[in-house]
Amino acid sequence: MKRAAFLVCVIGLFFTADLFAQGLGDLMKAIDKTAKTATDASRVVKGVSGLSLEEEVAIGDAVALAIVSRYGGVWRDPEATHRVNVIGRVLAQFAVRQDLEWRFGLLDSDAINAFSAPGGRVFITRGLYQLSASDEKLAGILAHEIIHIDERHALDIIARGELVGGISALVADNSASFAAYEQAVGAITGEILDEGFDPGVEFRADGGGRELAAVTGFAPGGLRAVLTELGAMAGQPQEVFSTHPSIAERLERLPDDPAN
Amino acid sequence: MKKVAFPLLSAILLVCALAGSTAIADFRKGQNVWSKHLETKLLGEPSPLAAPQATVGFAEKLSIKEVKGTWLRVKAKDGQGWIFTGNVSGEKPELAPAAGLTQVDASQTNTVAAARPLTPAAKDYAARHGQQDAQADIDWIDLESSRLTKDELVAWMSANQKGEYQP
Repeated sequence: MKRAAFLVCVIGLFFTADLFAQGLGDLMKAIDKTAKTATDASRVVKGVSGLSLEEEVAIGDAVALAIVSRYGGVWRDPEATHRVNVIGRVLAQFAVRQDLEWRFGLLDSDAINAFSAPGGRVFITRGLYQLSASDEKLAGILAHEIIHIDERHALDIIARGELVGGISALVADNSASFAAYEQAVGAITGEILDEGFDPGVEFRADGGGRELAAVTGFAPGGLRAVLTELGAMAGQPQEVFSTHPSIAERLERLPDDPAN
Repeated sequence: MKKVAFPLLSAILLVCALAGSTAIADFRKGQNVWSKHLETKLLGEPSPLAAPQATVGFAEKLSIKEVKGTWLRVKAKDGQGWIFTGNVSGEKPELAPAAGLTQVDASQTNTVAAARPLTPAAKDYAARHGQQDAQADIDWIDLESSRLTKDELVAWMSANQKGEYQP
């Protein structure tokens, strides 16, 4: 009986997720003018998240706006921006998802943090960038964020939130579509900027990022070196990876690889 | 029910998450992998400078015949040769690079890609939330990012021994 009830529960949850995804799809088509001109069938192929590429990018762009607004705007340093784009795009060449246009930017903040938005936008704060003098360290940080996008962690937040919270009412009414977009963006920005991903997701991004860096030819210990350095900076005044698990927990799970 | 369902559901979700993981992992002889790019040359030797033996398209299934460091000797439907591990995936990719909204065309490696602007939905979002400054900032990033050419990336990789240019 318990097993049957559980199966019904699981099937119901997936059905709810599907309805949610369909609703979001309708919403995006309604409000995004680009969808009207999309003739390439591949553009509307739904990914595992249930969202098309265009829907993912539209949500990700708004998430990026929220990230930039929250963290002091963009640090418009052409040289540093060029460097993060070179290293970021070299790494992204070997990510699984080649359907995205990857962009990398710097946030004008002393905080030590990095963020990713669905669709391929990655941000690193000036504070963290300035601690990443070596390419190995910068690659370790960027690879972690690339994995978040590659594995659609932020999009999973929408689905999981809808599943667990039982929110499914935004499907039926087209007039609610506008609000649904806001809700989807709000859910992701809330998780990314305030609550952070689940620790397990962060540990997966640490491990996947380490592998991506290594495959690309960077020393696999770049991220570990940054975390170790930060761990030794006790009592620092600025925000340090406030949306991530503790540095000690992350270091426990990363092998003691070389950083150069 | 609650006591049973939620730990089990968590376990199922974890398994699902692991199943969808980025497949940059150990490769072994006999395993099938899939090409990630629109066009990838299979080479005569495990070196980016080796002569091409065949070309594989996007999401083409490849059977690993030999593993040598970061290189795989694979058999494709129209030939065989060596391919860098970073150019294959352990799971079949869903969307081709061409599906990217303004992905740089492989034939235009030395041209500057047009910067894809923020989507109309996001521009509307910026207007509703008073984030026009952030919009201008992202436009700036997009412009800077678009200046980077494929040739420049390849030259950097070669000079810094990254990707298939690893020793």
